[in-house]
Amino acid sequence: MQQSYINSKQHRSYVLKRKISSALIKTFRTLFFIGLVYLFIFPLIYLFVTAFQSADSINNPNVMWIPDSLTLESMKTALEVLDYGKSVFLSAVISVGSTAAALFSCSLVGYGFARFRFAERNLAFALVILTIIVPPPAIVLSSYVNFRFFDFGGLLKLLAPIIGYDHVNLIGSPLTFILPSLFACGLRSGLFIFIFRQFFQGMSKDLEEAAKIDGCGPFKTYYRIIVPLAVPAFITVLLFGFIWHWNDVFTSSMYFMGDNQPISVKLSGIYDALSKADIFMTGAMTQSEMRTYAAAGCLLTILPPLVIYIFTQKYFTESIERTGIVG
Amino acid sequence: MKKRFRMSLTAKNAWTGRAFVLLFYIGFIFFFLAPLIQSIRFSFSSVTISSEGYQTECIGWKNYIDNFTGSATFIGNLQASLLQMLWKLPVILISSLFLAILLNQQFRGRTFIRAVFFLPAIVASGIVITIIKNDNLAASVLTGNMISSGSVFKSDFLGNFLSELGFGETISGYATMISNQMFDSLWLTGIQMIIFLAGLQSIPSQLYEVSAIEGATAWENFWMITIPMLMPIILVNTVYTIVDTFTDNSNAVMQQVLLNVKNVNLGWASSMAWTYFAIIGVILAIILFIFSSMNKEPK
Repeated sequence: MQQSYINSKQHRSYVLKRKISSALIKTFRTLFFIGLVYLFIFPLIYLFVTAFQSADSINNPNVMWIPDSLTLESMKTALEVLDYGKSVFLSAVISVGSTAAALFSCSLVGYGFARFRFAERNLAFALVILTIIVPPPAIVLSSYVNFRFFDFGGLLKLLAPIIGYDHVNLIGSPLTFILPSLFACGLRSGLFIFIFRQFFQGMSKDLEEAAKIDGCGPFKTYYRIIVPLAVPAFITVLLFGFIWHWNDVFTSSMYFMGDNQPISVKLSGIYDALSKADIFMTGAMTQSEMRTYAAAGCLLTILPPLVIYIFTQKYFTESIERTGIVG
Repeated sequence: MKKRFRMSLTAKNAWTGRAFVLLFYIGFIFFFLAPLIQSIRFSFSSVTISSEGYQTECIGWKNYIDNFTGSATFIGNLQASLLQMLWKLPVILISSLFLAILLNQQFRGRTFIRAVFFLPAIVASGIVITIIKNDNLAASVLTGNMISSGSVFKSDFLGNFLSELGFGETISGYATMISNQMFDSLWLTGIQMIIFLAGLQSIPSQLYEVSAIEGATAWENFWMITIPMLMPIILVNTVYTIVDTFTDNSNAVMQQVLLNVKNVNLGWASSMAWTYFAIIGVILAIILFIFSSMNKEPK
């Protein structure tokens, strides 16, 4: 019965239909991906091309993708205008410091939410959600005042008779980002707590129970057993944390003013900075020159996160499979 | 013999949990709750900052009233950002879900494609996009049209097409606006795509196996399994997208708030931020309500 069906005309036409439709789907998918890859990579290619060619070849309609002359002129100007060394160092201190702090605090908090039962757990987790959905502008103003006259939660007020001052000005210091992150309340820390909690909840409890039976305390269990197992979650948060701190403009532009600004804020003002530099230098910076400088600035800004992404993307794309960020 | 205080196992467990969460409690009070309350206070007062500290003077609802009567730009900006959210939300959600489903399939070169697709989430700081978009040349390269004087990925093709077909000015205007911002929206799908992808992978494969045995089509699978199982994640993404669009740096209201802070106009800025937050809150509450009533329905 079955034998006769497999050789039947009906079956052959069914197989043919399947083959055609799967080939169609494949073709469509490939075309679609080529288009989207172009869309996502185009800005990068464009930045590279623009940043390394002279302003003349930008105006030359014969030159489109392959620059006819390579120049480091715009890179040099961008380095100067952005005050690259200083601003990248500041950005790096903010990003690395806060990401490390957030990894430490948010993983602890996430573990606490995932594995232990206590009366106010759900309420506390609702507060975590609240920190995610309250937009930064609603509190950034008073956070500014808070950091401008910072007293470590009243600690300095108590010490005032001894040390002689009752507040410090943290504006312009990377601590404005690192301190809140250390207490799991920094830039998007709520989201990181969420990611860690989901990840830990998905992990098997067997190893922890075995460790408990062997007399291992909860904190030792955490850093001897849980942390090594949760590397994918840590890498995801590390990447997100670094990128978000690096790219943050809104909060950073509040806390850092004047010359002392991270690279993202500097880049946001690059046209202003260029025209200001222009007045003092030559007085004749053309539109296309400005454009190459801005492109070089963009490239310089995204370079560090891009390098980090290239090195971590393997772990990152794989880890998503296992993190189960939401669930 | 010393009498030792002993806790029950449950209580001990609870206190260990609290010890793990302790950092968040401290942070929440000092870095979130305190500024939050202070910001509410600011919005009802006029704030002056000097080198010794700051003085607040309570002026009641004046700041709020000024927002709506004094500055016409605030209402305009508010309308603009609401309108923007209205079309951006579905566009971002649908395209990120679509991309996530595609990326979840097995095909050759998947790792490469994934790495490229996550690129926007990595590189897309608003500033870089803004600078590229304001570039006429990039626009002309992409549209192949040297005279075009817009930003990158602008296209009035759809709008022109619709008005050729006899649709009204407003409809074709909206179509142009949406197609113009398609690039931004696609670039903004990175995070949502990652979250959807993680969600898709958490759907048990047995469900699909059973439905394959029952002879369901892919279309039925999508509506009967994927969407219902993804509901919580769709909610997360909706909330994230709304908050992200509203608090994006390029948002008109955000720009205005920032400007007021830079001019040390704290009272006014706080009241604007709070008006804005109240509106976001209402929208989020409506969405949460819709989702929770949708969850009750299918039984």
